[in-house]
Amino acid sequence: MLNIKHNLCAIDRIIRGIIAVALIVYVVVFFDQIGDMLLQISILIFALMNLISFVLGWCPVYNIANINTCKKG
Amino acid sequence: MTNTDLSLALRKRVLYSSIGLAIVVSAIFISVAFNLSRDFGQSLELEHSNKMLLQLTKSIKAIVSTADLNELSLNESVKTELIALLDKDVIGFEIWVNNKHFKLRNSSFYAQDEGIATAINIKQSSYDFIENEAEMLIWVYENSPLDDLSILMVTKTHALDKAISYVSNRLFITAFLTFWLTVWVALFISALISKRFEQSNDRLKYLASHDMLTGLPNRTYLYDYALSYFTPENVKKHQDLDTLFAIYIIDLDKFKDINDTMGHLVGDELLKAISRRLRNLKEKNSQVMRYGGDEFVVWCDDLNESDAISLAEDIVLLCRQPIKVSNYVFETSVSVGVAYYPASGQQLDDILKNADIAMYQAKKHRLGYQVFQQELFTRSEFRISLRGQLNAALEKRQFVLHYQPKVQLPENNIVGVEALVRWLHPKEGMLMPNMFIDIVEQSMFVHEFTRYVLLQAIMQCREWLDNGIELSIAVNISPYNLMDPELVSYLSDLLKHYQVPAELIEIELTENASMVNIDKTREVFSQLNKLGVKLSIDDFGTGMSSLAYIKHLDVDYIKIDRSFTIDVVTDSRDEAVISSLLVLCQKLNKLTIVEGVETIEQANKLASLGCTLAQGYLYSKPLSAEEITHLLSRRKAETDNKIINIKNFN
Repeated sequence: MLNIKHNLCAIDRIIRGIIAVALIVYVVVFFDQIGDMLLQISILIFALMNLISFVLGWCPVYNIANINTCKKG
Repeated sequence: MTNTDLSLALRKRVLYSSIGLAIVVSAIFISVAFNLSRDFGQSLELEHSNKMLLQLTKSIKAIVSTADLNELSLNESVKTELIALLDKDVIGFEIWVNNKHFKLRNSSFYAQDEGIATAINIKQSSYDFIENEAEMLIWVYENSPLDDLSILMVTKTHALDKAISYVSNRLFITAFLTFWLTVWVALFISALISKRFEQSNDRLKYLASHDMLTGLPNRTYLYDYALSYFTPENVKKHQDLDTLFAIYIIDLDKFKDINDTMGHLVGDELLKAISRRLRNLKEKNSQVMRYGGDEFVVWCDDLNESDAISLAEDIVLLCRQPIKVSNYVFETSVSVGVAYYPASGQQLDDILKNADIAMYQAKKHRLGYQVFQQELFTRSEFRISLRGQLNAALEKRQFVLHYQPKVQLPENNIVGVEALVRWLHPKEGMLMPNMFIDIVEQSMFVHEFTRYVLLQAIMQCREWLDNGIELSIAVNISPYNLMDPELVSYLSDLLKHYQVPAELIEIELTENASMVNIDKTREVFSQLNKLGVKLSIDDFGTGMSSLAYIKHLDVDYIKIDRSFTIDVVTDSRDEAVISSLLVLCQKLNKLTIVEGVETIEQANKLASLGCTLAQGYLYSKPLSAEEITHLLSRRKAETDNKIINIKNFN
């Protein structure tokens, strides 16, 4: 069962938000330069996942790996 | 290191090694792809240049066939026509025709290139790339000796840069994504591994802290639990409030016998059944553990004393119910020792030790359960100190023999004595055998002790013989002495050395002891018989009293236990037992001695039943060697006088 509880600390969320925005901008601006459709879609998916993590404050991979950056120690 | 630390360390290791692997794989991948794209680009460039050169050569030949080559240098129109053929990417174009060199386009970018110079010098067709700061150049030198025409063309590359730029761009993105995915996968795998690791760790922990047979927690668990229990809060709770926690040590009585006779499988089943019962104790705060062998521990918290005692009673009652194991019904009983925290000890070890002392007390006196009291400890400590002093006591000859007469009824003539050991302890005074005999039996000095006693008895016998007193001495031996292979030969040597007739020595073995190993007992007894010493079974009637054993053991005396003598006057059942035994022994041709005669009524009653030999406080308590010698001398004198008187009378 995926238990959606915050497992990202503020810094983690912000970094993910920045990465998501940066990647989306990169794909839009350098769309032709990337050239490969597979790569473009991959980056977009990746960016979207980061964006979702940023919005929810929850990372599925952290959840599976039992990592929580919310708590210290 | 705790589990979490271990799993964290493991996870980090997996993560780092995965990232490292991703970096290495990416590096190899990038390097291979880069080289591939470069080689591919170069071959494209070369193909392109060759095509271009072929085209140019054709054009030059066409122009050259119409114009005089000698005039080529002069003819600007031809030169212009040729230059017009060149692409703007061509930065160098030189031709050699009829040993003349024409530079149609020239650049300093390749002026210093050694490869070009060498190719021109040896007139060998060749090509290569020049890596400029700004761009890549390709040069092609084509030497055609037949037409006497050589061409050098240097062009800027485009396909190469483009290929590399595409590849590097995509490679960068791919590497980035791969790297990220690797981290995810590494986290995922490490989570899986650490989960498995924790599972197996938990399993190991369970195995280490639980007993496999009964599934109960074991001794390790008990110590771990105690470690976690003695927190400042718990300690304070027991100091402030009137609650205590109790530790019960439960030991199955005679479990070894069940194991030995029924086999270990039945024994194991019995342990399981007992453990199931203990699990169902009503007390909610109780925890049952298997302490080892047939010992269980119950730890019960938040009790008051009456609860604790009622729990002990519950345990005893619960374990006393018959248990059916493999078609056998066992009527087991347990002995329970109880010790409280904090009254009976501050540390787990102390509490356990005290509970153990109480348990042994309960077992010894068949009490069912016993709560630890300080005096038990003092007694136990005293016994431990005695054990340590045994060797020294033997060396210093602190053990002395006292003698209790055996008399013939009804005249009360002394016909023999029983030797009883006393320990003249320098601090504790005179210790009775019941205080130290079992310590001796459990020690390594048991054989030495018996030999010492035999020696003392034989020496005393010799001394009496020297004084004209011929009296048999009975010596008690321990069942452990039956295992002493040298016992018989030692006794034989002593008898020879002191020249004491063997029939003056009597060996006594208690009934229980003699039945432990009937074959061994019979063997030793027959050897002793051959030697000529008398044999007797002590305390007869208290053990199993198997008549078959009396039949098989070739003994001279049966000593009827004092428990039958006490009430022989009032209890007709005792009277019946004694008279039956007398008849039985008479038929078996064995003499009987009745022990524990204390009153004249008892003596009269026994005499009327037909007893001929008796022993007890009525006749004499055990006396020291001097006292008994004095008594014997007096009696002897009296007898002699009687004889003399009779003689005189005659």
